[in-house]
Amino acid sequence: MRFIASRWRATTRLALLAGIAVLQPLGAGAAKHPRYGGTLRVELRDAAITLDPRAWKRGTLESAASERVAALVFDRLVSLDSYGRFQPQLAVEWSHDAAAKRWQFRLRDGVKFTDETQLTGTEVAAALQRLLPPPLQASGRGETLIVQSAAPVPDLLELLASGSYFVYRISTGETLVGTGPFFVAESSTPATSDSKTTHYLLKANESCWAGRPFVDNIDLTLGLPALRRLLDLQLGRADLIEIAPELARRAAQESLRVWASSPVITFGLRFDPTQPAASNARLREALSNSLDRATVANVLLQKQAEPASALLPQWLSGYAFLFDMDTNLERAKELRAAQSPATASASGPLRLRVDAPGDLAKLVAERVAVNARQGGIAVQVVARPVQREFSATASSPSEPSTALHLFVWHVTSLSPRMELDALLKSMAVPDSTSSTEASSADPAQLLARERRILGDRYLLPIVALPEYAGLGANVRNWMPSRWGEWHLADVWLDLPDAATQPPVNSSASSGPAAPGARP
Amino acid sequence: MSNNARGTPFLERGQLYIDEEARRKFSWAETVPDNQSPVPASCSLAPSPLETNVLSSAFIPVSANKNFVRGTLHIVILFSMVASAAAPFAGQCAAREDPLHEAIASLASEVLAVRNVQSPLRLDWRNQSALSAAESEALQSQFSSELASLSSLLSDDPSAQPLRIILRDTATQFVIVARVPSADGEQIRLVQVSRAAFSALDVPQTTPSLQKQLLLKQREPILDAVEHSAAGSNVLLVLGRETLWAYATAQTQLESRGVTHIPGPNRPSRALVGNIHFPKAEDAHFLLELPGKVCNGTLSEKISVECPSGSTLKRGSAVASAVRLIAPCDYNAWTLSSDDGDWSKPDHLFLRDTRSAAVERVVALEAPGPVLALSSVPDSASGTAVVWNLSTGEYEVYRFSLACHN
Repeated sequence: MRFIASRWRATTRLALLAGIAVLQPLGAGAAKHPRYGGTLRVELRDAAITLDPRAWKRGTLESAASERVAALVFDRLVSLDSYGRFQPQLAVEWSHDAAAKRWQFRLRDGVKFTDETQLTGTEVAAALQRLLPPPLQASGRGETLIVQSAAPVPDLLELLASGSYFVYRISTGETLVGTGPFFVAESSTPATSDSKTTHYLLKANESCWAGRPFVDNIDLTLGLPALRRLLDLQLGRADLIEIAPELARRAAQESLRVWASSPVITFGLRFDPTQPAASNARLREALSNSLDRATVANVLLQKQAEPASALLPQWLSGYAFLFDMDTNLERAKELRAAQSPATASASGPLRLRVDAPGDLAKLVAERVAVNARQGGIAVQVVARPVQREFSATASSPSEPSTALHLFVWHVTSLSPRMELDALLKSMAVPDSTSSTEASSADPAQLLARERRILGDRYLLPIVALPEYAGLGANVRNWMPSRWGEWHLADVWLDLPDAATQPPVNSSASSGPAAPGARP
Repeated sequence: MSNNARGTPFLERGQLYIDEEARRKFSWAETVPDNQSPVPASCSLAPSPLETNVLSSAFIPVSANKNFVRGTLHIVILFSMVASAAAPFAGQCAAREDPLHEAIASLASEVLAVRNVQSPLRLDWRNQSALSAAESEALQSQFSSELASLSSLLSDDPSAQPLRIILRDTATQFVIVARVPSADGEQIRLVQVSRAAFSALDVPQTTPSLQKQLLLKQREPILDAVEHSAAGSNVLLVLGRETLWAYATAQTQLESRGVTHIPGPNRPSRALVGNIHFPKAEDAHFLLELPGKVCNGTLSEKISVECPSGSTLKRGSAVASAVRLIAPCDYNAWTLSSDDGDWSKPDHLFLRDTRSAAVERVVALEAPGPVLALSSVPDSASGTAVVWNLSTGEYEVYRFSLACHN
């Protein structure tokens, strides 16, 4: 009996193995089936974008939107992956000297711009030189690019992996062309003055060095109101939208696919140091103590933001949690009471100008006014003429009688030092940091610098917000970075008849591809 | 360059990064998986300054008229290959070469240097980073030892003032913050380490019915991995975009049998598409399917691959996402399949009894990322899976086996 059972098992096993040998070619296939084809319909908030990185104003929401679109058309030298590793993009090798003053990059071979021009060190140097901060000098020849600086630049890779540092070429007619996964096939500006929407049609770059993107086209509509975008997503008229922070909770409650980045947008107050009222240190301290950040984050923004006590977000600096700015109305009142009536009346009512047009910014400003009043400070909110739904002017010139501004800052750089530099430069507040200190990427020095700036209280962070996106059910392989890069070239659409293989007319060149290259 | 506790290569500042594809253009040497070298009984090797994926040290002289890499690359690669073979040994022997441990030692020194500390202090250790609990505990233990060896600063007294150590991570760094109470007010000390230096993941858990074993991991993409038996030896073939790696699997650990560059033009693709097929069991002949080409290969002492011009991968030829396994106890056939998802989410591996197709499939394994390829090995009690680990960004090859007992 035992023998029979064993033989039966052996026979069965042989039969199964024979069957499996036949099935093996079928069974050993890839487990995932990326789909090629289709048009990804994207709706964004800002209408006024420009693909020219030279025209971007750091820290503004318009620039962030422009950067998002530009990333579809241009590439950078390197990228940062979700694991903290720098990945080769247009540069495949890099090194620097011991002082980190001279960096050398070797460029990827065989890359072409979409106008068929070969990528060279000269082209890359020309593009970057227009963008790099003044101490940095780029020069290139052949496959090599050199970046040099008089001061150490230990965080050059962080700089080049973010912000405006795209490689582009100025083609005929001052058109900018790139090496990225898409190219602009059509663009249309508003036909009438009533219309604020802009359309871009981007087509897949078949000869992209990193491989053809999965979707054929991206249909980009810019400047749509927040509710309209949400409705379009719900009705299936859009596949991917930007969700306004105040609607994120609602979108989630309606079972839409909602994605949030790390906090990349900071709302804050800026005292204009050129105004007499701003020179009153006790007033600044009293206002700081009266701000109820938790209420703004949890009530006004329905927990879609977090109270901010630092200028740089935690995910960027690593030390933001060390700052503590609790509400202390008693202290605020004490400070106000300690001032002579003449000084107190001279400094009020304090005019607060909302530098960020939009309902959300106005709401935050009005909440600040309420808080200030509770601390014994009279604040009058002054709105700027609204041009766009949600915009920011971080460093706009001050009006004569306005000592206080509500600003919005969007994180641009992956280098904490560069980001703090840019923010302070844009805000034009007093900064006693020495040039040696300013060029240091040492976190302890950076912490000391930010502590000093915040201690002066010319800048008062209020809340930090993430960016939100809503996704249609057919959007697959959505793998953005936590600081907000969308990586749309790696997204595919679930289409009933879509092919699983790329079109065969892709050109032959080498290059890494997702998910390893752009996780 | 130093090595972390797991022997995973990483890049530090001041070093040359070379893309793997670019490196292969110059390199003839074989690549040895960093996790496969045996741990020696005695640790006598010196710590390695270099590893497989990262070459060079602090400064590479640059000539204005010459390609700076090509001239020195062969020497550097040769040196790095020798050094990389020693790297895993060094990782076992010299924990202080780990940058994280170095940072902890540095932080301990800085804490001890704080003036007017209100000692004794109670250690309050908080890991708020992606670092695994085990690694955090190891660091805490090291930190306590460092302090204890130099002073009696720490105490177990719960009423003592806390010395707070907080571990956080940023986009690029792990930041370790010490908040030291002193008579001059709280003193802050910070150290940071590149996040790229190490993984932050514990080994994934397994389920009782299906056992899995991590065979290898690497940063370079893996399209497919197949175990095959031919001419009395077992071989693991690992397919990259332009490279085929072969390992002998007869031993308990993998042993490199060679690296072959796949000839012919490469069509760049964002999809991880590529298959290894053995048309006949126990046969040395195999096929490679890659975007833009189909290649023939033969397993022998030296692995050969030819890609005739004009042969292309047919549209839709990558099909199933399931393999069949035979349970060793009763020879029942089971189907192992993965989610039909994308690359943004971890996969589940499902087991289904082929005798009762109507029965709902059972989750057998939680993969640490999307399963990119599945294949079964000749005896069909086991198979291999290629997984892109979402927590580490590395490509991992697992062998999984059906077990009839827990």
